[in-house]
Amino acid sequence: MTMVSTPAARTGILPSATTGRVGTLLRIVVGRVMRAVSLMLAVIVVTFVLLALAPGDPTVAIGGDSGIRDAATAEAIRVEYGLDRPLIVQIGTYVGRVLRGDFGQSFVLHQSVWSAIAPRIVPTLMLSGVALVGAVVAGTLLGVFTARRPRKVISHVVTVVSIVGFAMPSFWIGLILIILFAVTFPIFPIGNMNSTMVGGGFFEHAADTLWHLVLPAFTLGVIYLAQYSRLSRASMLEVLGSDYVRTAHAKGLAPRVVVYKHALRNALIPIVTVLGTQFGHLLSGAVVVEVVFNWPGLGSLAYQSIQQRDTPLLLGILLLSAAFVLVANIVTDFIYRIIDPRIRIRRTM
Amino acid sequence: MTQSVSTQAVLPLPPNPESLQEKALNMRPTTAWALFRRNRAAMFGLIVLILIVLMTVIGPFIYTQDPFASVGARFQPPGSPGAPLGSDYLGRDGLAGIIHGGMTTLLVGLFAAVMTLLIGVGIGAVAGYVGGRVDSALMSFTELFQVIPATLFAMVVLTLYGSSNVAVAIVMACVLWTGTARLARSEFLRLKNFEFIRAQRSLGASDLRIIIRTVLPNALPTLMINATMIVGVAILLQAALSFLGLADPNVFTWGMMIGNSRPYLTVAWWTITFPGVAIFLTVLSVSLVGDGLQDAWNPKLKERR
Amino acid sequence: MTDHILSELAPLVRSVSRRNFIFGLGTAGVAVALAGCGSGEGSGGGASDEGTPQPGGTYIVGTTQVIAQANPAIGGGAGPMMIGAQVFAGLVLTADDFSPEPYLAESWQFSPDNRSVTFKIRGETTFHDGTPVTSEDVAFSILAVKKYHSFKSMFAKVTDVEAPDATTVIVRLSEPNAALLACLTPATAPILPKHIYGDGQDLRTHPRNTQDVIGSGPFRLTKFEPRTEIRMTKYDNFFQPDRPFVDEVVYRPDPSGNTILLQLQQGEIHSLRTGDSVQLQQLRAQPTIEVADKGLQAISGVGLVVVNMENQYLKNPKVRQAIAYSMDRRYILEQVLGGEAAAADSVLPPIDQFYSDNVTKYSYDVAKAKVLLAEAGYPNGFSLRIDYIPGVREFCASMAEYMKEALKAIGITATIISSPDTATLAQHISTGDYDVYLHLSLGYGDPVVGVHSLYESAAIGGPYPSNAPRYSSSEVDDLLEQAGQEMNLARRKEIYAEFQKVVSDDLPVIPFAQYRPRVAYFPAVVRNPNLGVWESLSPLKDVWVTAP
Repeated sequence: MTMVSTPAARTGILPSATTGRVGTLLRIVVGRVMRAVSLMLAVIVVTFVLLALAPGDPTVAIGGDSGIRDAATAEAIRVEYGLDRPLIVQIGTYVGRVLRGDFGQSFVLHQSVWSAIAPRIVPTLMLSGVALVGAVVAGTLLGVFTARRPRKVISHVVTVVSIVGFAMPSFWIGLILIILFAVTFPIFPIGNMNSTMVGGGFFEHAADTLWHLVLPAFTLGVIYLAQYSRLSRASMLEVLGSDYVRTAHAKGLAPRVVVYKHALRNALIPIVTVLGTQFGHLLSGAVVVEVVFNWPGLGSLAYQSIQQRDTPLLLGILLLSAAFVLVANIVTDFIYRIIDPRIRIRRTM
Repeated sequence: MTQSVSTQAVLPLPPNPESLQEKALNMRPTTAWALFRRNRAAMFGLIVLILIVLMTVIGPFIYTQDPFASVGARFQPPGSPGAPLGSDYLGRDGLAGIIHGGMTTLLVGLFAAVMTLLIGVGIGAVAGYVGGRVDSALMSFTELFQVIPATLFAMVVLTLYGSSNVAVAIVMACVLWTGTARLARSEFLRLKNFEFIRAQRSLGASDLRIIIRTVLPNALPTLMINATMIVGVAILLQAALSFLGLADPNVFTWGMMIGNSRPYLTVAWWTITFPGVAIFLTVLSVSLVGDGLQDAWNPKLKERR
Repeated sequence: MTDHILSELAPLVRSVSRRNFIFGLGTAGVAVALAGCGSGEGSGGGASDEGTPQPGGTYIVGTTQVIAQANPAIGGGAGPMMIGAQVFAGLVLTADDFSPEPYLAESWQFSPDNRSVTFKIRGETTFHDGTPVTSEDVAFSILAVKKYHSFKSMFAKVTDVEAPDATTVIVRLSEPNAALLACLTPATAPILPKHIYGDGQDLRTHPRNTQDVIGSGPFRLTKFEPRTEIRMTKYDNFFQPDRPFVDEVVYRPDPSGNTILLQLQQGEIHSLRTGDSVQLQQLRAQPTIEVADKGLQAISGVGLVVVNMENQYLKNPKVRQAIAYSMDRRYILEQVLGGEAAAADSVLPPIDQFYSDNVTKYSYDVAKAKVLLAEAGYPNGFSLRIDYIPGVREFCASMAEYMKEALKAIGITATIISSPDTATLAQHISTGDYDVYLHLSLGYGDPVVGVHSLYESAAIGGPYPSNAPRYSSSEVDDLLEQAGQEMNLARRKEIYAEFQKVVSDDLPVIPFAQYRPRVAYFPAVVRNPNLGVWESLSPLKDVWVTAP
């Protein structure tokens, strides 16, 4: 962690309203936002160039399964989608449109990219969110529990499980779960987010969706769980071995009070730090799981659009995910500064 | 501090700054090794890893069945003649696939890890040591790559540019280097202000000399641990990409076996399970060894047993 | 529907054996699901056992297609054809013997020189928005398809379409066209409302292709979310008064293909189509699921090994013959294709009405192949690249892997290039930048549509897959031209027989098996499942289901 210059060191450029704590925060946030915007532009350019330079001819993707059997049609499509212009022009056009909120037309779906992406955002957030939150909560509790009983068998078991959970490929876990709990013992549905035949109102639909969510969220969550239980345990152990905790014990405070009131808060810091870095990947972290379970989110959409060479759609998904990461980083940074008064200015992780 | 790869996350515990002196003491192999040896999980991991490497290197000469050749009917269950671990959709021997495919799988993982290290350390070290504007610029560059979603990026590049094993390794390095860069940077930042380094500078030693002869060896333990983690993550990422169909069809690797047999999961579970177990054991043993190294080099953080 | 029943399935698990657990379970699940659906005893019998059609209910179709839009006039493959056939009407339908049947057209008459066809269409037909269907719409539609559809050969010979009165349409041809009526089905030439699509916008990007789609077919499109669900509701003023029977047709896509089979087994969908041998075998093992033997001939075809005849090695006929002799067809049919495909020695599949068995056949003879290679000047073999279309796994990806080994046995080193998608492969092929690739050639109802352009020399260099082998034979060109114009069916068959013989000698492609997708459905729920030549790519107006 580095210490960048404190506000006191920056002199005179900004008006006096921006000094003081709130003003400092504001200035930092604005700076971060601007930085994020320039990063975003860089991302757009890099991915666009990458896609454009790839071998292959996107006009066939537009032509559909049967392929284009006519050179004139191919040329017409090329002109219409602007594929014949020089790269710089294409990038410029694209950036301009993006800034106006227009992500272009999906080649294959013949609808606007945004309308294809929009309905997929919530399912992905739902899946990743539930998995992450569940894993953090369960992992933290598990870690705390085993940290207090370091020599018991359960502690070793948890350590082993957390290492094992980390080493298993997520798609493998998902497939095994499908075989076990959706086929052999068909407790859960095999995939998708909803069943066809669910009628009824909001509650029936919500319950049906939650039921479909169980296996994929569990699959995604296992990886996080392994991580957080390990982190929580190590962190808790370290805190429990520190001086002030021993002092608290010596003062005669009840062990439980010591743990939950004093130790936990400090043990949580690294957990929150890691959570902050992973938060940004909520939109993009579930690709494999979504594909395994045919979950209608951004990940499976991206996978399909890659196979169909649907460049605008792919670009849209990448940019949205990147933007989300940037925004999440700014937000977490902001939260840190508010929560932890000891941190004046700190480079984020 | 740490970096999130979309499919898995690498999570070395933060090194304790005070332990540099301890590190200097522990650099003597006997002490660290003794600590490592006492760690049962780490020893288990080491043994398994050695066995796996032996199997992939020597195995093909002992079990010479060609993994590409058909040995009989397709979808034979494990235990069938000619196919101890079952046969796949073209009647090929699963065991042959695992034995012959191991080398490439490991090499791709290793290659990706080495490249990740080179790029990551290269960038991170320079950023940390030089500082200032160079540091800012390099960190912005790093952030650029961190912001682009890793799995999606790998999928896009491999789909568009072809998925040969070399491409896979390169793409993975492009996606994984940011974590190593950050780590290297923080190590170098920390180290450059130490007394003996400053002393060398004031004596007029060139920066490059200092970096290579003094700073780097001290940063090495942390970086090595990170490297073992990267190998594990690279193997997992490669498996995930193969699962999505992005593997080299001309070479047998465990991930490719899983990816090709994916549609047949419900009919022939063995075609996916055994390669999956192989991957799992490899990553597990690498992780355990990495953990053991971590504990051996930073005994203060060792979890009480 | 099935979710609340699932808990009852657990006790049924213990009676199933290790490998058949999924089958037994699926059966139990289906049985319980059907009981839950209130359909009583399932007959399980053949499709001929129908009973009296009951109106009402929902027919749920499973598909792995992500359907981009609902207007098949602009092409786009089987997906839009499936939807378009429900939403739009066409002039004719195709009967089981491939002959045309009246649909929107009540009757038709060819002129003596076969250069014009006069159609009489039904009066008092309306579009879903109430506007009457007239000959103007028909004329507009045929010309629109000619202009925008990717299958140029369908209406290339149409010079004009006239609409002298509201119910008469005259199609003018530059020369006789034997395939014309086969192309006027709703899936290939839908009747579009001119008052909507004739507004000057480019048909390919017309907004009404995906929103508020209006046609005159038996179903109206009410929900179009191609990745989750497509719903179509019965059109009450359909021109066949007592049709369609079902109230709704729903398409549930599973693009990954992971869950569609299990969805059918558990009753979440009522039918699916597949050509994959593993899926077919799993489906056949279920007593409550019927895998139909008839139907879907129009999108059947032949798996081909396509060679680039401009390649320095492959231009030599002996080399091509050697490759043909290196292929063990028995192994291919039994192991690679799982026993579900029929042998095919000709470039037309055995179920095609023009199929001829009188072709040159190549047995499995590795020794002979090596001799031929040596004679051609390559006793030590050479290197080739093999590519494949990302289509049906077994015919493409698995066959490519098989070919690699088969070629290795005769000394040819093959490297598999797997193009990520049709776009990349298409570019390679149309520029001749490939050596060998695995292809699936589909018929689409008449050889003129699906087969001709693969072998006509005029098509070389055109967009994929026009004459992918870069084959130039004036004899074949003549035969194909004649066959396209020959109105007499018997004579046409003779011409195609000759064509198949010539091609089997020249070997621009090496056929290895027939590709035959099949329909799998619940006979207890789905009655009269429309097992015609086009099956679900034709209107589902005669399908009925038992009580919902």
